[in-house]
Amino acid sequence: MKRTKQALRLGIFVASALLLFVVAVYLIGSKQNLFSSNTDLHASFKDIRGLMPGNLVRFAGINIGTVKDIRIVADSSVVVTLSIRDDYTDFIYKNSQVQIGQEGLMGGKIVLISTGDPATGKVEKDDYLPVADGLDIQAMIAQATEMLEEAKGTVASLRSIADKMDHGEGDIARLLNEQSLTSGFETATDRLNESLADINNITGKISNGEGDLGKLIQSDSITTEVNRIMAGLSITTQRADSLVNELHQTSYSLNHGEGVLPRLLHDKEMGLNVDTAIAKVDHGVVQVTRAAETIANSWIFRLFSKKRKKEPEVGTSVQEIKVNPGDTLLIRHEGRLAADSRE
Amino acid sequence: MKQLNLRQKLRVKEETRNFYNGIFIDLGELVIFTGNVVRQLFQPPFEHRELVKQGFLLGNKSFALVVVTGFIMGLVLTMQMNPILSDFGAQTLLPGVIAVSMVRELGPVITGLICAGKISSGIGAEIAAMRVTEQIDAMEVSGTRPLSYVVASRVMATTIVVPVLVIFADAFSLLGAFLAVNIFEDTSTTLFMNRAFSMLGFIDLFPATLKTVLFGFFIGLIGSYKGYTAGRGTESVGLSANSAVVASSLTIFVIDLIFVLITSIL
Repeated sequence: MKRTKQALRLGIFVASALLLFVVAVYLIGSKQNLFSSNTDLHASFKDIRGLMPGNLVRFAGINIGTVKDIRIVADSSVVVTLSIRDDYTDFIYKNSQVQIGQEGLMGGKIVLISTGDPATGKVEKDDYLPVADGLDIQAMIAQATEMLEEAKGTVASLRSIADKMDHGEGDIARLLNEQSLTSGFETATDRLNESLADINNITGKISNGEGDLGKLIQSDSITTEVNRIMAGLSITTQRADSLVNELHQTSYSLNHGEGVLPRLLHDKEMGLNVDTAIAKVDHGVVQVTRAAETIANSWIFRLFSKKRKKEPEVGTSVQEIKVNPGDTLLIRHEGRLAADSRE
Repeated sequence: MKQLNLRQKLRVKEETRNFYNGIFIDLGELVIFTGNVVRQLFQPPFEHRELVKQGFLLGNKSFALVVVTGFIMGLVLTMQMNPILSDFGAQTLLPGVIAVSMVRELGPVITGLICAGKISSGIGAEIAAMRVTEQIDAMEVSGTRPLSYVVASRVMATTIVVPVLVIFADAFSLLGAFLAVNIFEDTSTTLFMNRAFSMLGFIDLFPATLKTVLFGFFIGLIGSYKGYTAGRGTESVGLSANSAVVASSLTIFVIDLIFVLITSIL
């Protein structure tokens, strides 16, 4: 009886341990998807960054499988086989992207599957999923190192600037280290304040409409006057336009018309005729003048003119002057002729 | 410094030679003893009743000591590691870390050392007492195989019960860790177990279990050997118990080292 009791207690003892062991095996196995039906999917990476078989596969934040196998097929291609529980394959589509992530800064690597487009269809066994670039801690560290180097350089520059400022080199250092600048600033500030007060006074007067500038700004009469002038200017401008237009027409008529003036301007033959006519007129005038002098000196004329007799004898000889076309003849009232030759 | 004369020097030399020879002699005798015991394990008639009796005495009677130790180990380890992991912001890893460390290393080794202290010394003292009181001689004379009845049953019993005790120690250490984690933060049992088993793999469980089988075998074997080869004097009982504890403990560490090397290769 005693032995039976001992055997019973020993049996319970051992069985309990075995049960705990089996539970542990089941829990570990279920984490590794050993007790569920799975579908294998593949993804080809250039660099798996330390991913290992057994690492978790996560979809929408749920652990849906594990990395089953990793094999290198070329120098730039590592094929990772993912064992996905069948319960979840309905939600993974052919264009769902796979990337390698990390479980926190200290955690291991995980494979992340993104949601895809249902239009591309559900994944099937041994499908290859497209790969996306994942978060790379090494790249982040490299970037951080670069930033630290730059920060180091910046700190060195700042230190150099601080040293210079401390030693009084440059304007900013003088600003910091010397009192004279401060007093100068104070003086300048005082003057500025005074100037501001003056400006304030002036602006006050302007606001009150005092002085010419105040009236200019405050009074409407100038504006009205200006408007009136502008209206006058507008009318003048219109007239000027009209005049210009008329001048344009006149000049056009002069250039292209058939009257006397256009011909005078453009017809050389006529110009010569006019010159000839003027020369003939000049000649005629000379003849007339000679005739007039002859008449005046004739005894008949003297007979009837006593006044002439008493006048002193002025040079009455006739002088012949040679003129060219275009010259102007000036006749003095004493009766003498002079010629002013002009081009 | 006192100068030794020639006779004393020769005696020291002789003792030293005897000491080193004794180690190798002991090792050789242990190997022979192990071979004889293993042969008895597969040679009928099997001592079932004695096996059950020893299993109950060595296993059930050590249960309380082992589970209390395991519970305290889990609790203390969690409380010690929590601040360290908090510094890294990795408190969520605590259940997993405790589970891995207990299942892989601390559970088997501590349970093994407890068993070495309690079971191996007990076996050594008991068998040495039987040797001193000539019970073993009587068995040999009467035709009863003392190696099968006394030694093999005990070795078989320890080989079975030590892994069982380790499993209980691991389970209770996780219970202690769960309570300790709940001191710092509210964690549900489900979440704790999920986190604990998320870091555990078969590579942690199976080598550790196999290791405990070897621990159990050598605890029983060394205890039995020390008792079986005890002298005739009554002081031999104490010496056997003492040397059994020392040798068993050392053997546990050596086996553990070998398994760590093997599992690190895996």
